[in-house]
Parts: sequence; C-alpha cells; structure tokens
Amino acid sequence: MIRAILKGLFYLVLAGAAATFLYPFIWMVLGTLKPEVEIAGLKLWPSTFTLESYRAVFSKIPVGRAFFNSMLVSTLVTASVLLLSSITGYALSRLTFKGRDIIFGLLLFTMMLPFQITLIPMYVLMVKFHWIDTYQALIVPAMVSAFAILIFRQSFKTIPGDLIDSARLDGCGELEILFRIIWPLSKPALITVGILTFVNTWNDVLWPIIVIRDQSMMTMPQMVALYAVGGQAEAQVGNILAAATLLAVPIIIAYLIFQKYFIESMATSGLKG
Amino acid sequence: MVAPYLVHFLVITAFPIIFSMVLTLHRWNLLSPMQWIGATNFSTVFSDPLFWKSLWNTFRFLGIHIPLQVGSALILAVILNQKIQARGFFRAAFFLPVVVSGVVVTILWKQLYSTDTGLLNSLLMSVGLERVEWLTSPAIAMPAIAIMATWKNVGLYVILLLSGLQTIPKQVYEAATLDGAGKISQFFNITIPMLNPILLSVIILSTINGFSLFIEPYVMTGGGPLNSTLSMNLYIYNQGFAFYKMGYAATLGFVLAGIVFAVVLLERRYIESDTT
Amino acid sequence: MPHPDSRSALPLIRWISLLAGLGLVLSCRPPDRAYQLTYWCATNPFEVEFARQIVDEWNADTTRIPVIFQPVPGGQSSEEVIIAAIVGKTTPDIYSNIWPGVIEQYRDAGAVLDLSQFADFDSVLTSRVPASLRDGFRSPDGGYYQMPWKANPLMLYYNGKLLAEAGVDTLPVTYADFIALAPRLVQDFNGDGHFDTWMLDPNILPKWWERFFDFYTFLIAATDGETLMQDGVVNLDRPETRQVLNFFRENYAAGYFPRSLFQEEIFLLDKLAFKVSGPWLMRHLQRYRPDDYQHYGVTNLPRPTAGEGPVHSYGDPKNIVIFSTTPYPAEAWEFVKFMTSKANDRRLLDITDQLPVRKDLQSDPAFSSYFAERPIMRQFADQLPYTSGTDHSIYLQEIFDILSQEYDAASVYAARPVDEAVANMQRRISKLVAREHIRSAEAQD
Repeated sequence: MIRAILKGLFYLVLAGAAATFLYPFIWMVLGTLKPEVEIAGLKLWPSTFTLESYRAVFSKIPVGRAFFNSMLVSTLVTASVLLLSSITGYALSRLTFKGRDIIFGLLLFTMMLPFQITLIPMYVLMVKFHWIDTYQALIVPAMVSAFAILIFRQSFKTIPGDLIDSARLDGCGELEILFRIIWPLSKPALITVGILTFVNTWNDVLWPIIVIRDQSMMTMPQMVALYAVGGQAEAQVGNILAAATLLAVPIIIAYLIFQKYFIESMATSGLKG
Repeated sequence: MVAPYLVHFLVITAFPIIFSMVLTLHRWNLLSPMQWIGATNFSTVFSDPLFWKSLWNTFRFLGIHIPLQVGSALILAVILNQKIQARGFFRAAFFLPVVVSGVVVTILWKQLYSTDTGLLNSLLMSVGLERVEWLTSPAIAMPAIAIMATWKNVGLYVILLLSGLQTIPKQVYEAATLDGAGKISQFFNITIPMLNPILLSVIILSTINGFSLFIEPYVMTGGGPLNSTLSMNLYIYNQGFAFYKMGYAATLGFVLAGIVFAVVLLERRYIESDTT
Repeated sequence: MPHPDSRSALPLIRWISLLAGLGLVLSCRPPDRAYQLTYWCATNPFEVEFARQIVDEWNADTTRIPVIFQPVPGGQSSEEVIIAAIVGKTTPDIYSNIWPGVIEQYRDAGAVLDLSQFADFDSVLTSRVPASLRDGFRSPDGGYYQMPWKANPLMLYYNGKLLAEAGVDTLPVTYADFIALAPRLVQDFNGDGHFDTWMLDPNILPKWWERFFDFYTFLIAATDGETLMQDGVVNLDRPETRQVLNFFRENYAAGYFPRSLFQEEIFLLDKLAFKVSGPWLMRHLQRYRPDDYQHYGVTNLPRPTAGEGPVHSYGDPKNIVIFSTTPYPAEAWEFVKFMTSKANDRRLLDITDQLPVRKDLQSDPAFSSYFAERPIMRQFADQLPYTSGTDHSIYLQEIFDILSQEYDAASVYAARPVDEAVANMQRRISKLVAREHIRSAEAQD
C-alpha cells in the first residue's frame, strides 16, 4: 500500500518536472505561430496559425547567413579540436619526451583559469591581428582545447601498448598510429569531444559579441541575442520568439537524433571539476 | 606533436595572461597610450562599492542556485534510480534545456517573467494569487535568475548523480535492510556518503559555472534593478567594453579568478574532510 | 629518448604555420590607398538609402574623387565598432551619425580631424548652424572636430484616442497638470489592483544611454536648456534636478509609469498615453497603424512650472567626422560639404524624417513643401533651435552611468532620498571632471 502511494508520488514528481521542462518550449513554439495579440494570453493553442513572425524575422535579419556562419565555425572548430587535441593527447599519453610533465601541468593550469583574465587581452590581440569581423577570430582561439586533450589522454591510456609497439615495428609513423589504430579504438572519446565542442561552439555568445560586429559575420546566438535586445524586432514578441525558435531547433533536432551520445558526453564533461 | 598545443597555448593563453598582468598596473582606454599607475587599480577595487555589490550578488546567486540545483537534482536522480517506466523519456526531458542555447532560455524566461504580460503572473493571478515583480523587484530579481539557471542546468546534474547512484552496489543496501535500517536512514547513511565524490564534482562544477553568470542578467535585467543582478562578470564586461577601462577590468578579472580559486579550494577541503 | 615524433609532426607544424601566416597576410594587408574615399553611414535602412543616393550622385561626376560607402559594420553599438577601428587603424575616411558625446575621446586619441583647419569652415558653419547651437559643437580646445549634421529633437507624443476616450482636451504643460491627468488616463481593466495602461514608459533598464530619453531630456526642459555643466563646473545640485527626480519618483510610486520590462511596443497597442521620442517615430506609427495614426500628436515636454519662453529638450544630434587616417583631407571635406548641401538636406528629410541642423529649415522654400505635407514635422523643426546636446568630456559614458544609477535608486525604486541622489550625482561627477582636468593639465606639460 505505502509502496503504491510512494510509487504514485514518484510519478507525480517526475511528471511535474517533465512538464516544467517541456511546457515553456511548447509554449514558445506555439507562440511563434500565433497572431501577436494572443501571445500574452493563457491559451496555449493558437486560434489561427500564422507564419507571419517567421516571415518578419527572415525579412529583417540574414538568418540563413548566420546559420551558415554558425555551421561553418562549429564544424571547423570541432574538426580542429578533434585533430589537434587528439595529437597532443596521444603525445602526452603514449610518448615520453622532455618537458612532458611540464606540459601536462600547463594543461591543468589552463583549465583552471577563468576566462575573465584572458578576455580583454584576447580582444586586444584580435584587434591587433585585424581579426575583428573575421572567421579567424571565431575559430583560431578555439582550435585546441585543454579539456579535450585531457579526455583523449585518459582514453588513449587504456589502449594496450602492444598494439602500438607492433605498429611501430611495422614502420608506422606516429600520426599513422594515431589515426589508423588509436582513433578506431577510441570512438566514445571522439564522440564525446565532438558533441561537446560542437554544442559549446554553437551556443557560445559572449566571444562572438565581442569580436564580431558585421551582421554578415554573426553567428546564430549572437544575431538572435542582438535582434531580441536590440531594436530590430520592433518590439514584436512573436518575432523575438520566432528568432529564438530558429536558434534552438537545429540543436534540438540533433539532440533528438543523438540523444544517447549527448547525455553521455555531457555527463563526462561534468566530471572534469 | 605537442607543438600545436604549445603554439596555441603561447598565443591564446600565455600571452593574454601576461598582457593582463601588465594591464592591471595601467590605466588604458584602448585609444590613448597606456598610463602606468602602479597598484592603484587594486586599491580602487577594494574601495569600489559596485565591486562589493557585484561580489555579494554573485554569492547570493550561488547561495540560492547551488542548494536548489543540487537538491532538486538529487531528488530527481534518486527517483529515476527506482524501477520507473519511461525512464528514458524523463531523462531526455530533463536534459533538453541543457543543450539549448542560453540565449533562447533567457528570451523565453524574460517573456515568462514579464510583470504585466508574463505567463507566470497570468497563472498566479488565474488561481487568485498576487502577482510577483519577477525581474523588476530588487529582492526577487536575483532569485528569479537563479531559478531560471537551475531550470537550465539541473538536467546535467541529474544525469551525473544518476550515474553515481548506479555505481553503488545493491548488496550494500541489502545488507543494510537485513540490519533493519529503514529507507530514510539508508539514504543518509549509505547513499549520501557513497555519492560524496560525485557530489563534490557537482558542487564544484556548479560553483565554477555560477561564477561565470553573465548572459542571463545581460539580456534580462542589464544588472538592475538597483544593481541587484549585477554579477561580477557583467561588471567586468561593463568596465571593459562599455567604459573602456581596460586596466581596471583586467584587475577585476584577476581578483575574481582568485576568489573562484579560493572558494573551490574551500569546498574541496570541507567536503573531503566531511567524508573521512 | 629523442623526440620520436619530430619527423612526423613536421608537416603538421608547417601546415599550421602556413594557415596562421595566411590568416595574417590576408587580414593584415596594407590598407588600400587608392585614390578614393571610404564613407560609413548608419545601419538603419533609411540612412543607407540616403547614403546610396548621395554617393551615386557624387560619383556621377567623374572629375571628383570616387567615394565608396558601407553601413557601419556594427550590429549593436556603433561606438564600439569605431573604437575598434581606431585601435586597429582601419577607420574609414568619413563617418556620419557620430554621437557628439564620444568626440572628446576620439580627439584625445588624435583620431579625428579639426575641421576648422579648412579655410571655408567658418563660413560654412555660420551659414548653416543656428547661432544658439554653435557653441555646443566646439571642443574645449577651441577646435571643431565634427560637422553638425542632423538632430532628432525629443518631444512628447500623445495617443489622441486614449485622451479623447478619457475626455481629456488640454495637454499637460506642468508636472502638476501631468500628474492630475493620470487618474483619468490609467486604467485597471482586469481588476487586479494594477494598472494595465500607463502615462509614460521610460525604459527601466539601468543602461546609461537610456537616460537621454527620460531623466536628461526632462532636466534640459526644466532648466531651459542647460546641460550638466556650466563653464566646466558640474551644476546638478539645484532645485530643477530635485524636481525632475521627484516627478519620476511620484509617477513610479503611483504606478502611472510601469515598473516593468516590455518586449512589445505598448504605445502602438493603446496601452500608453504618452511617449518621449524623436520625429522618426511617426513613420513607425504610420506603418503599424495605417488606418488611424492621425490621432497621434506631439507636444512639448512638461516642466516643473509653466515658465516663460520656449520649452527646451535633448536634440539627440548626430554629426559627421573625418578621421585623421585619411590621405585626402581636402577631398573628404569637399564630400562633407556636398553631403550637407541644401539639396541633400532636403533629401535627408524626405528619406529619413530626421532634421538637418540648419537655421533656414522653415524659411527656405527648398524645404517648405516637405513641412506642408507633414505638419507634425513642423513642430519638431520648431523645437530644433531649442535643443541641447551633451557636455564635452572623455568620461561622458561614465557620467551618464552615474546619473542612471542615482536616478534608478531615487526615482524608479524610491530606495534613496532624492536629496541624497542629487548630492551623489554632484559629488561623483565632479570627481570625474576633476580627474579630467588633471589629465589634460598633465598632457600640456
């Protein structure tokens, strides 16, 4: 009896929590399809469906361009992090060389460092390089990630040394070993780093706000943030919500498809503390 | 093979840190030449009421956000760890806000929180309650932001704690049940101690993330009302990028870094000593 | 052990340095010094159209230096973009739409040209700008680093429909009038004890630039046109500052001004009786209320007491600068004169509904048909000679941040006595001004 009540209570809590997490998103998406005057009301379902809000967003800001920028930047950063960080992770885990421990120390130090310290000098650096309003400013600072190196180092350590030694005997170069032997054996680490890097790059907004001013160079979150707080939405709530929906949907779709990987990789990232 | 990392480290990390240290000793508005002012920036920090205000605000945010987040994550994780139908659905639902951009979340919640036309107040008033000035009352704005931040992140911590719970061997509970320990005493005497390492990670992670509070007040309140949501990061941003006080902003950055470091160390020591 | 990886890593290092080098080369190529001028205009579509038309016309005459234009590459604050451009030495030759409040910073950095070096500057200035406004554009060092161009005088719009429904037929002149009208205009439709329509909706975000549209413009009206400083001395500890702060405080306390953040424009939704804005708002109203925009009207800002003479307000001026990076200053000056010719000022009116700063705006036949078609714009033109800008200080943003903080505490939230807020303003701003004096004294040594 008590068990049954407890069980019921559990489901009640879970259902309440699920509703709390999902309802605002449902409200937002339906809000974008409502006529402007209905959005503030309590009624969830629109009386008539309209795409006016989306039409207005597309006519006012270059959403397609921002989507392309975000895709390009996130893809290049992810590719670069996978490549460069796994190389360093490999060196740190499987090779011995002078200064390895120092480099490992540097790595841990980098991870502890709050970004506030480097933010302003980084901005100055970008200005001096003439990288303001360029893809370089968005990509280059993110090309290597200390956290990714750490994950790769951890993962590569579990690979049996015999495999690597015999490959060396067969005359494989180190990079060949990494990409031919280590990578195929480290899919979970690659997926984790890939998803994390992509999502974080896609969602980052502070850095683009600082280094990008040209509207045609803006990423999605930046453009949507400026559209919503700046004057361009002309104070039409439907437009603001539509812009937010356009920003959220690609990641939500990716999440629904790769849900298992998303949750696992995010959970791994949590353990870095 | 570590060359790419080293090059990147030198340019993107080491140079900025050193440059930042140099900046703390100067007054510089980007345009005019740097002016050496010694340790003035540091003494200014400690007599700057807005620095203390933003520090207090940040701690106030952490004080609400961390217990709320860890507490609700623990409850949800413990329930999900039972024999539950549709666990995958619930897990996925809780996790959804984690993957969505903070910009979407702030835009959405700004609308939900609106005093005169927001969904939350409409709900409150439809059941006969008094409305709340969510983002426009100095007392409530920061708690409102903390609630929103919890909503955004709690799914991640549910997953973390759930994976911790699943590593606790069933035999431990079975033995305890034989000894006549009730469910509640099992929770406090077995679950919590066994979860300790992962709880520590969760708390430290929440702390570090909490200290970086920026986009929420930047978009939703601009730091108001009465500076009650001016977080340290927002203050640094304003000093650096609204008033171009680069030296002062860099100094604030170092002070904040020191504080984060100290708090994390304290947490680690406190929780670890708690276990032994 | 030797470095086993050095051989295989070599191509990678090459690849990276190549990439980095390429990036540097591509982005650091020397600025284009061809015989042409670059002109940046504001981003709003009307001003872009204006720039397109004048540049096309200028370039049609092939004996002139070619001009290329682009909207200032900024999504948010154009000031930030210009500062970055100055630091990176990538400024254009000419920029319009500069806010005079930042001129001192740019002058201090040596980034803008003193236009009075051009022989005909004085005659151009005196023939164009009303005498009452000229001093406002001169820097403390006596130079003119900006060409006075256009203004958007702030006035009080009213929603005639709401006023008529409430039976209000006289517009408020004094603070007392305004507050006496409030109970007839604000309404609580749903009976929840909170108003659903309001008198005015000053933005409650504590951003420094928002104060131009509430506290600052009301202060200019209350002091008959005085800015924060007279002869370099901060003059805020005066009855008018208290009256303005009290006016806002009273309205917020009574709920006549919403202490709320709206993402929607409530003036369009008939939820607001009055709004402080510039001439360009009319076009927005026309667009979203095409059938009945005629009921919207414009009047002067209220003052503490009825007072004699015209009501002043903040002019929201935007001007033109020539950056000192230009290799062709004389040609740039010719283009600036062309931009501000009578024909192009008329074009500015037609395209943007913003007012050129010129004294013959209402007397010259070149503009009369415009005002005949848009009578409401005549009111803004009448306001133009009675506008003030801002003081000259390199710390102007910080000064307005202080005003914003104190106004927020004293008026919006009534968390600080008005007297204390006024004393704080006076003390804190004086401190900044003193620092600036020390700085400029040091610079002269």
